[in-house]
Amino acid sequence: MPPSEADIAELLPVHPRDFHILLTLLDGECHGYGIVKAIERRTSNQLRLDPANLYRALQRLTLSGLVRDTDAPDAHDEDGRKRRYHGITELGRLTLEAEAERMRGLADAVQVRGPVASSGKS
Amino acid sequence: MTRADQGVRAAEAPDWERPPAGLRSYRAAYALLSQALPHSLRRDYGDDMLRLADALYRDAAQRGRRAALRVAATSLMLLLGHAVGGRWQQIRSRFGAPSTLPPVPRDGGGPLRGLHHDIRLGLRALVRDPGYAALVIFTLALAISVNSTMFPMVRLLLSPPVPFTDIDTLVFPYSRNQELNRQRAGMSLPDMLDLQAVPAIEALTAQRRERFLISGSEEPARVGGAAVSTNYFDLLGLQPEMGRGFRPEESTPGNDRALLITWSSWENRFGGDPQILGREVLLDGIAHTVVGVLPERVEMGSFRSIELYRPLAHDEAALQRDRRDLYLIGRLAEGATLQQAQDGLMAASLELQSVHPDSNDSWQVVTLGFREAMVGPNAAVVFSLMSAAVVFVLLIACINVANLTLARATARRRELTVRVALGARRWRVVRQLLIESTLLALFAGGVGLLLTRFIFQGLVALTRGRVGLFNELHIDGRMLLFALLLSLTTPILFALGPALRASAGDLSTALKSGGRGASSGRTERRRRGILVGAQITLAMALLILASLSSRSMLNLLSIDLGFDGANLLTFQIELPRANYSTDEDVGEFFVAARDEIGAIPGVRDVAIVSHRPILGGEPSLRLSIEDQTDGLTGDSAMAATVVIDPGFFETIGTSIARGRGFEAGDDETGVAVAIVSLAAVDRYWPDGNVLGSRIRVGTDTTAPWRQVVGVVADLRNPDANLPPEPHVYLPFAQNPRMAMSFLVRTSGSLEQFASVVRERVWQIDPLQPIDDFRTMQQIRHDDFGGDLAVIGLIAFFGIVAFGLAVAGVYGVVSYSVGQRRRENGVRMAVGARRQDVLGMVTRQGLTHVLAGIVVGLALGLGMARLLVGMLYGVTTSDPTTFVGVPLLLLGVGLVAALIPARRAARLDPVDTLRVD
Repeated sequence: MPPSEADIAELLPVHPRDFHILLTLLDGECHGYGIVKAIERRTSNQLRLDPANLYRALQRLTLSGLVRDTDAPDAHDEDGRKRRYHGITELGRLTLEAEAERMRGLADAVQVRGPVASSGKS
Repeated sequence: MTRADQGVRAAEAPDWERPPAGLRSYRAAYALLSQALPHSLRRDYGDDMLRLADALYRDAAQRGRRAALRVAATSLMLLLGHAVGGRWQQIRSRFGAPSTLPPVPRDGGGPLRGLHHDIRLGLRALVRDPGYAALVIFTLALAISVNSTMFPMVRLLLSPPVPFTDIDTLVFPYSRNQELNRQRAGMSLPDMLDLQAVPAIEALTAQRRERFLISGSEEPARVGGAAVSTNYFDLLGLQPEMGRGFRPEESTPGNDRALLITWSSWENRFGGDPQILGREVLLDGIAHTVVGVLPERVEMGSFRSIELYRPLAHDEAALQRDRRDLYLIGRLAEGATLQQAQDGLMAASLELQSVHPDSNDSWQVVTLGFREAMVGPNAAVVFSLMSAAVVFVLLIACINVANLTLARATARRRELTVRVALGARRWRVVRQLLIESTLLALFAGGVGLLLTRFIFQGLVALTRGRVGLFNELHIDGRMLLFALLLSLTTPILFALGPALRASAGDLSTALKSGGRGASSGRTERRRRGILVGAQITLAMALLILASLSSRSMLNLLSIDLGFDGANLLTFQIELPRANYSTDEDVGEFFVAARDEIGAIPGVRDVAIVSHRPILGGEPSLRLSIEDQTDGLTGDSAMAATVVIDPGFFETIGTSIARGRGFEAGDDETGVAVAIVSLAAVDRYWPDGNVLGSRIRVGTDTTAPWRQVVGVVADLRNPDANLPPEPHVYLPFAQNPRMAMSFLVRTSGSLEQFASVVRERVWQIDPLQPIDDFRTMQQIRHDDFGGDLAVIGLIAFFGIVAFGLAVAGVYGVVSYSVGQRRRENGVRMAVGARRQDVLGMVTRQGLTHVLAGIVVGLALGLGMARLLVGMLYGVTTSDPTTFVGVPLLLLGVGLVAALIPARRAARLDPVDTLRVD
């Protein structure tokens, strides 16, 4: 059953950190280190995720069904353990899209209003 | 689903080859702290988190050490935050509160409302101020680690692990002979049997440590065991887990072939044999029957080295009254007190003196309760001093952190006051500050425990596992609890005061003064001064202890041994009576082994001796001198008796002072001869006419008279506080012994010799175990090992205290300089010269240091008094210490005050006034 609009609306707004994680996973399944590095690159090191932050976010996203764990059978660590990969779900894609749409709306609203910077206290 | 290009991602992985510095500690800390994470997170992602933390640290390390440290500090702190936050959410959700988002913080409601929010706020504040956080964590971690180090030692000392029940009614009688300076000697079997009549004692039991050559299991081995009275386990309240205990009739000679084994011996040596009861085991070649297996709890503390127990046979050898090799344990009679037992046993021993003057003259019985018996009087003093030391360190650290926290709270006063003004209650502000401090302290507790682990490992390594106490040290639940308790209580010591003060101000003054003028002048400064003085006092007392004990140790280490210990390898061989029944067999074996070893290339000298120097343990035997009737020797003339071969003195490098050494002709066919030490001559031949006089050793009046043929220099007494004991040396050829030690002087590295020596001995007897391979230097080191480690610890505590106290002085002076910039600027603007400001600031700093030194001197003198009798070559009022330590503290205190003072004096008055 495809997720309804209402389901998705309940998940909005998406925390910027979660947004970046979902965005990264859009490019394909990835492990924790890859996610951190991709986000660092995308944000020019403005957003640096710590392991505890990342995995708590991943835990939450997984529980809400936006992300799922996948085992990459062909990828093993140097110590032979399996590496856990994370992938985006259909719900995750839709949520990401809805969040982008929401933010686009916000940005448009500012655009319509005109320049922000010089209009301090008027 | 597209799979991303893994080749590219793999290439991003950092360099795995060489782990960067600090990674191991970071990993350990991360693993430790992640234990506190909510269970589900740890279960699902724990490994991945650790791996990611690892990778990110490696990344950061490539950008430099500082970056790596920052990453490590941040991630550990966040980890802690998640742990606390996650748990909090779990608790809330269990009680029905919404669990997804923290509630909007709002004042009012219960006292714990918004705790989660405050914790996150606190973490954020700490991450923003990593310098402060790191300093506090470091300081507290040091203090917590030294306290955690002492905690299990004190616990083990207060309640040593013993398998006994009802320890309060146990008493431990010892023999004492003041004239021979024997304080805690053993007891003989006949004495024990007589002492049993004392009414205050319900029963006595005896134990003698032994070593057995065991065969009939797997390979032959020499194992630790004990011969015990048949009532031993009954009296101590221990029942065998399987089989039976000893029966009274098993103390009869010939009937004593029963054996009780420990649980782990059964499991390991006998492979858990279900048919173990009734199995025959050869001990020293004599068949014994296993009658029972003891429960696991018998193997505790020092009892761990005993694997086998056999009944103590009341045979002829054991029934000699001057053979004091039994250690007694008694059980008080119903309603009797320790005092009654002490008095009763003492009276009985005095009676024995008059009944058996030849064996019991000047021997008394002293009786100790459980605790005194288990903990020597010196250990009790040393460990209470060390406990005081660690508490001092903790106090000093708390004072330092309190000063830091006060400074930080003052700087944040504006922020806090705004919060109050916006409606936060004072309790919330105080709580916020306390939470920050508690987070830091918890973190410090974790780091401190890691440090403690390193200290424990260091202690075991330093003493090479030979000090039983240190081997028992490990981090267990009780220690975690202790560290947690420290972490939770120290914030009250160091943060409550500052928090209360910082939140007390009223809005307008705080806002007006711009976060600078919070110090209320004189009172504030005096309070800080007192804290500094207290720190110096505590550090001073500790440094005095550290100095006295290390000087004493240095003196001990520089004692002349009386012989040359370099390149001297030793080991022991004990022959079983079953295979070597006659003296000839014994003599042949040792002579053959000695000659074989002497033939190894690189061996310069080889000798055999019954008791190795330093190790001690040589029996003190009665010494009678023929025709000497003037009472000089009296009945109590005793001498330590050692059996040696002719090469002994040459091998250890001791010189013959007069006469000659033993020669090949001094064998069983020759005249009975002996050599005495200088100390023996001084005591028993005051006229010096020793050569040619005849002596007899031991109480056996049928033994031959021996002619004294030589005098040798003294060897050091194993107890360095005592003068050398009189020694008598007997030739091995005339007195073969079953257990002899070899001394091998080599010209090369010692390690390679050990295997060659074993081979050679096994050529003669392939079943013969060789024990205790050590060099003489190792023996000496091991002899001091425990003391060295304890002194090392005291010195370490002293240095930590010293460092923290100096940092405290520096911190307070520089803080006050910063606070009074404007004041000093004004001073200089109206004409004060630089040196005036310099002098004033330094003087203010030093006043407290001086006061601290004076009080510390008194405290140190008092504590040093407790060390009377435990120091070697140093008095408890050692001038070097009592002048040197104050000078050191004064000097360093001066520097610590001068640095910030110079900063104050270099100020440009115009600059300071221009601020704002």
